Amino acid sequence: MVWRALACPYGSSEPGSAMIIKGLCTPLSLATELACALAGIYLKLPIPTPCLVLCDPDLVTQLPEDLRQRSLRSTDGNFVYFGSELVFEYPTRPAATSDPRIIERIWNRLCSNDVAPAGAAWDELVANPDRHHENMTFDGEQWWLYDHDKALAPLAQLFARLAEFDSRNLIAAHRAARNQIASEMGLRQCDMTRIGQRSRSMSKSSKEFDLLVSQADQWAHPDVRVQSVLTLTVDVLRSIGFRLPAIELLIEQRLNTKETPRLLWSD
Amino acid sequence: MHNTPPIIKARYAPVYWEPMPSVSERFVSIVVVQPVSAVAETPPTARVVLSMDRLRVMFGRSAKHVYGIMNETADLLTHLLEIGTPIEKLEIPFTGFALGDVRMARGRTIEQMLDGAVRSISSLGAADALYQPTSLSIRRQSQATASFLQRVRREFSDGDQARRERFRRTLRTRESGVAITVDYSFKAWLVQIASLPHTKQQDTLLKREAESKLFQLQAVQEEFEGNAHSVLLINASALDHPANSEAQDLAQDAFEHLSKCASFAGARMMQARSAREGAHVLEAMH
Repeated sequence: MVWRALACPYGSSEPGSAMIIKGLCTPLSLATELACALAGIYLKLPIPTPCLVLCDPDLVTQLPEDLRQRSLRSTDGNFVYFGSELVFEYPTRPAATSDPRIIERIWNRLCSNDVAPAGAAWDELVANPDRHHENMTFDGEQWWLYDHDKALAPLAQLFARLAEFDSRNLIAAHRAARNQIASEMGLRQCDMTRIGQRSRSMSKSSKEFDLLVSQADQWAHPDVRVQSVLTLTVDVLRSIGFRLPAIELLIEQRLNTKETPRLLWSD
Repeated sequence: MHNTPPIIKARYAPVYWEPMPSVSERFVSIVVVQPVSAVAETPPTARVVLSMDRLRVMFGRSAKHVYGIMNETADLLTHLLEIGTPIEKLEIPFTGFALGDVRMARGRTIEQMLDGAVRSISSLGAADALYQPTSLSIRRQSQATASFLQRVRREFSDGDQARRERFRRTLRTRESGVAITVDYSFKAWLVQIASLPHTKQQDTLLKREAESKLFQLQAVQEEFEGNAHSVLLINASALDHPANSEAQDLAQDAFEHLSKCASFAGARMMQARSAREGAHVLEAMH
């Protein structure tokens, strides 16, 4: 569940900034979403600025009871959710439709945009199997990518064992079942070499990426439950960092997997 | 006395936009139009009814984003209409938009019909917003020319793929590498298409469109080292059924202006008052 709200910096009395709040319930999904957004922005992907949001339960009375029950709470009883900066005051996103003509048209638009090769390389980096026409948003000028809480999901148990060589190898070599943006680009006969170019420029950032991880490692929050999410976020960031040098290879493997896709010409 | 033009009838519906979800504050952003009379050659369309100036007043710095979203939505709706989706069955591709009730409009010209449609559904919208280039047409040409070109291509090609491919070809100049799209090219013939205005609001935009296309013709002509036949084909439907004498004068003045411009650019100017005439002009280019 997502909704729009005003949020102010922790402990301040400044006016709130408009945010989109996402009701994620587990520390892992919160940490994955936060880490992916931070990493994506660092790698120059069009992803809105993220944060963790503490919601007073009395202010969100319209939340379904089921979500309230499952939500993570800080020690003082606030809900801990994920927040994204509103990239545009009146956000709109592709509607939940099953009409293949609309879905095809939206993919046509995205695939003819520079976001497509960058997004394909990015989804490969974070092994994101969950890209579909509804988790992209259009601000009237540019497409944005969001919704990464299912990225790297099968590797969750390895995050606690990052010091082990085998765990690192497994993390670096993991591939998601699918890369939807790459598949859609392939169907439309887009220039697939652009995905490789984008992954090359990403892999060059791996050294600087370590700096981001070490900065995140210094985050400290007085609330122990919020801190546990932040600690997990650093583990997810570190895992993304392990995969960065291998991203070119992962892309190559993905693109060289011979499939005989149905050709779909864009207009 | 002018000929009595045929009546154009169209079904139309407003598309509402609710910028902030769940607060029920909404306004008409787009009109979808589906012509129904047999004589109307107009393809169905969806157009933004709020001008950029109006949106700037309403949304400040966010206006260009709002305009972009509305145009994107209008383009997608136009596509759905073009492939035969009835207005009632249109699915709106983005969240926050909702389709209103379908109504009926009529007019002696497309502009008159659209003007009536917009004024009957929106207090903020204005028909002149319809003449602004949309995100589809902003790249190259006006809606009037895009629609005319589409009809000429359909008439001329009649299902022949080789003929279809002569339209909208992009050439890249050898030295500067500039990409130029030519509306029709075959052997040594290079044809750009432009339109005469029906209303004052269209006048400046359509003149600019024709002038820029003439500039492109000149650039391509140089690539052919003088062996090309450059033609500016004018959609002169505005001269055929002008709404009144003022519209007649406006179209005539524009015609004379473009004729001089074409002469400066070393291009021949030809005119067609219907898609069929346009196809005949192209047929004559062997």
